[in-house]
Amino acid sequence: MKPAPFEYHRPASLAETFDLLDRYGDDGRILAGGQSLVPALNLRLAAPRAIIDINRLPDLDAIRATPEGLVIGALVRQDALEHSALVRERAPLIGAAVVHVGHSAIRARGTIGGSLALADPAAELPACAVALDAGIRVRRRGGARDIPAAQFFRGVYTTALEPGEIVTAITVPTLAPGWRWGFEELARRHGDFALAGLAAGARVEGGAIAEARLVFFGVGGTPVRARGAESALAGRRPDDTVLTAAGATLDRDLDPPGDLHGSPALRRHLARVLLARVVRRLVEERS
Amino acid sequence: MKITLTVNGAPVTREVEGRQNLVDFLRYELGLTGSHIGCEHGVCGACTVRMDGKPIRGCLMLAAQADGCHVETIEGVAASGAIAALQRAFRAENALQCGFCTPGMLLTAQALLERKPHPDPVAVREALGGNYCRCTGYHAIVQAVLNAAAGRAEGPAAPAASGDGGYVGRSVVRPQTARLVAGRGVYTDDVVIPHTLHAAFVRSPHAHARIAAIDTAEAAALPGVVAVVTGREMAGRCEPWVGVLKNYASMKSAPQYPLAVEKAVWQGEPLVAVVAESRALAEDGCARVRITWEPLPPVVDAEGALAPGAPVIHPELGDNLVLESRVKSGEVDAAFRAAEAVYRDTFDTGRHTVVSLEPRVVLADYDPADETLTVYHSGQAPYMFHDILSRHLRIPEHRVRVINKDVGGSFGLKIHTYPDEIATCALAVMLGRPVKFLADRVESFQTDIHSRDHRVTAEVAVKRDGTIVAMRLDDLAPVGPFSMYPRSSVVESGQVLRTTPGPYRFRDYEARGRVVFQNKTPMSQYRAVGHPVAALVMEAMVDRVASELGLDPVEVRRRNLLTADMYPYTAPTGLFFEKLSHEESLDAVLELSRYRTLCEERDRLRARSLYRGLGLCVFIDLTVPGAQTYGTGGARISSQDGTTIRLEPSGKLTVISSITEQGQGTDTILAQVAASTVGVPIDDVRVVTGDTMVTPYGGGTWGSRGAGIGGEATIQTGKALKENILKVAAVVLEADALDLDVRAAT
Repeated sequence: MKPAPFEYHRPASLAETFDLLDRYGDDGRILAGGQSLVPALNLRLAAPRAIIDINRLPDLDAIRATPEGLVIGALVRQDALEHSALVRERAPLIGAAVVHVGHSAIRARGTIGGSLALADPAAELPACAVALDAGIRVRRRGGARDIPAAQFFRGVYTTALEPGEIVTAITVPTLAPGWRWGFEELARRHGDFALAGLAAGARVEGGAIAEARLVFFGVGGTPVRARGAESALAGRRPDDTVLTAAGATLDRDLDPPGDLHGSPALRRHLARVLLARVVRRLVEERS
Repeated sequence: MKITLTVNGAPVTREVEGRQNLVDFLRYELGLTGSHIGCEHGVCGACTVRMDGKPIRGCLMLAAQADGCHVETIEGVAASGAIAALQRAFRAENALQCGFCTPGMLLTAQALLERKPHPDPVAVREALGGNYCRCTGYHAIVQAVLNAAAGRAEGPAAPAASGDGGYVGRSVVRPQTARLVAGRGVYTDDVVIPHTLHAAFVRSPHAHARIAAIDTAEAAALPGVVAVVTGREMAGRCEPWVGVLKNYASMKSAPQYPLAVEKAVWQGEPLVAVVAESRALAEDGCARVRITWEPLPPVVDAEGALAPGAPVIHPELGDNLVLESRVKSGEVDAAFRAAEAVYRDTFDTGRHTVVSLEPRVVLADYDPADETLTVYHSGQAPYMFHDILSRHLRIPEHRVRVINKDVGGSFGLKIHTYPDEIATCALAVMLGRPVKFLADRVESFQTDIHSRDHRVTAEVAVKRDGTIVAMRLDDLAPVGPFSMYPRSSVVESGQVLRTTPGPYRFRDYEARGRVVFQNKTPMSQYRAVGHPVAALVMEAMVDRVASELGLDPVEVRRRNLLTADMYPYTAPTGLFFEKLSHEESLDAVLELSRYRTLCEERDRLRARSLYRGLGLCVFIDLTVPGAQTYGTGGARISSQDGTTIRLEPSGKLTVISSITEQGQGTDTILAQVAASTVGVPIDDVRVVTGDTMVTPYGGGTWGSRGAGIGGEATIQTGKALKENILKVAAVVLEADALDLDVRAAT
């Protein structure tokens, strides 16, 4: 299986990129890491008229600590996130999550901007962005905007990006003191898309959860914040009773799909297992 | 567009099409065929190359994206010596069989060791998790990487000189792995014949539908497309085949053509061939073929196939029954009436398929000048394929030649007649040019044989002490729309009927097997034909007996196993066994697995809500089939095999055998046998297989025949050669031949 023919463009600037987006509209596809787009091209599931390869755009591949937080360029490869001291220090959740993305050869090409813009519901990095309350920096000709991650993901492979816009960076706010982060996913094999996963943060005070942010993935069309479970944990020590109660609220928080890989009931069960594991570990760590 | 990059240290400038993948560019433009194509969607890792120092998937990057980059392939990395320790360790540990995944494994392991020189086994498994191997089961690969990291890989020990008993029964590092770890394997897709065309097929999107009309005009007009051929156009060029075995009088199947003519009977069935200057262009042509369909109701489930009023897939056959067969021995009804308990269960075993990492591939070259068809084929029974091509394409036998180069895994998948492969050979004849067809992964899933779809109802009659006195079995096996050719699709069900009683001693046994048509991918037999289904059913019934009667599963097995003093033994199924040792085997397994400790652990964990399964399976594996398997059915598959040993003027041996090599190590086995029998060092032996113009006639390697039959042929040939050598030596040395021997110089 070989891709259908397309015109290949490699813009050298954002301005040139916007020109191409204007020219091709829906018939043009942006190629970043390509680890999801190229398989779709090979299988002829996608057959765009033009491929706009943004890999050579300047200044989009840096990780920088700024006063507003950690700014990660859209073209930062997943393996760069994996090995970055800045990410480890200022966005440890991303560091913990990224090793679950495919395999090393995939992470050598895959980019953070590509993961976010693709919005695969089983992907790790969108869930992290929501959990971290990150901003997605988006540019278009003559303008830019920051979209809060919670509003960016709209559905399966669907985002708030408008025609002519591209993701250029993600901004992770500086972490408030007292917050701890945990990540876990359950997949048939390491590197597979998760049947269910959890990106979580909690402010822990004296062995109790003062507040929590729980974002599940693989269990809905977008990353799903489990607000009921967050409330059930708030102000409590996560003992078995509390975790069971929080797990029970997930039935209202989550409405997972059933597919070839798992039933809704299985995914609910896995979500409860993840909740208990991750939250327990958040409290135990360093306490 | 024009790209300039560095490949293995040398600058390269080429014009490339935007859509060309990096791995295709490396393989087909630069001839660097060590990177392999296994899935084309980033899953298998066979195409791994290094890009600016990091392993990446060659199929998930466009060649255009590599402009200005540094690319390294297995060829370059191997030549540099950078992975010498890994290569030695892989060979010493036999961490490769067919070798198709090996370049990707080596490059991935190299990157791991650069990053983490002393990884633990978990890190190795995680790092290699994105590289599939279908042969080894990974254990040896992980061990090889650990050995290389620990500096334990001092390389394959030099083969010891042939002593008492020689090399047989000892581990010998396989000579051909030296090529495979260097990316120098030559698989069928690596063979280049000038002026080659590429075939792609329009396949049915329907499980069952009549072809009302086919419009090929737009496809034929596409630049680069050389021919568009429909089933009707090809039908006259090729005799259809019928996959029945003559020893089953009532067996039926329908004629099968290389391309469907009237209607499609499974999703994926090839309908129209498009031949073009490249595979991509051929696929472009396929997208422009318009077919008008009249969908028909499909037969999907096995029971539905025989239900009254079910659609009949081949109306001329009357119904969807391929074959009903029975096995009966003893007084089953009486035994059931007298039983102290009867248990009954139904088992559904899911369809699955083989997934050799190297897909099916055929490169057919017809030379109209001397009317000769030469076919490079990823297969395991070249003479069978040779015979089929000769008869069905009507080319005299001596004008056909089938060559198996390195084969990237087969497992019984590549011994069947696939319509797209026959169509490719027919196209080569029709067009007078070489034509290649390489199945992509989607085509593999849709058209490689599937297996093991059975619904089995089993019933056992037992005594309170757990003795099984009788068994009834009913097997229903849906096999797709055709019985495969020439081995048929009924052998798996037959094996379920015959092997289910396995090593147990009950004599009253009755079984019925029904094989039926359905509109799914054809099923047929591959590795361990029928055995997994039979063992599942029998052992699950034994466990049921143990559980119902509150007995220990081990004791129930002991109570029912054939004992050593009962051999030789003719089973109620008619199978004859000379000498088997089930009790000793069971004892050994219990000890090696620390079975009782595992049981205690399981019970302890269950108290903590952790459910760990532990099962026992006792079975008999039927291997090395002879003429009775297919010969009685008239299938033209040689049950003989032959070896020629040529003594070269310098005293070296060339061993030429009809047995084939797909990664099992048969080449090495033949070398071991020849060296031991004649009395020469194994380094002095070279083995040639897989070429019907060169090797003796034979059946090839399947059903574990390689060592059993090819090995024996090699022993007999080696003995004859040695006798001749000694006779001549006796004359030259003026000695008595009985006083002479051939020994390796020490």
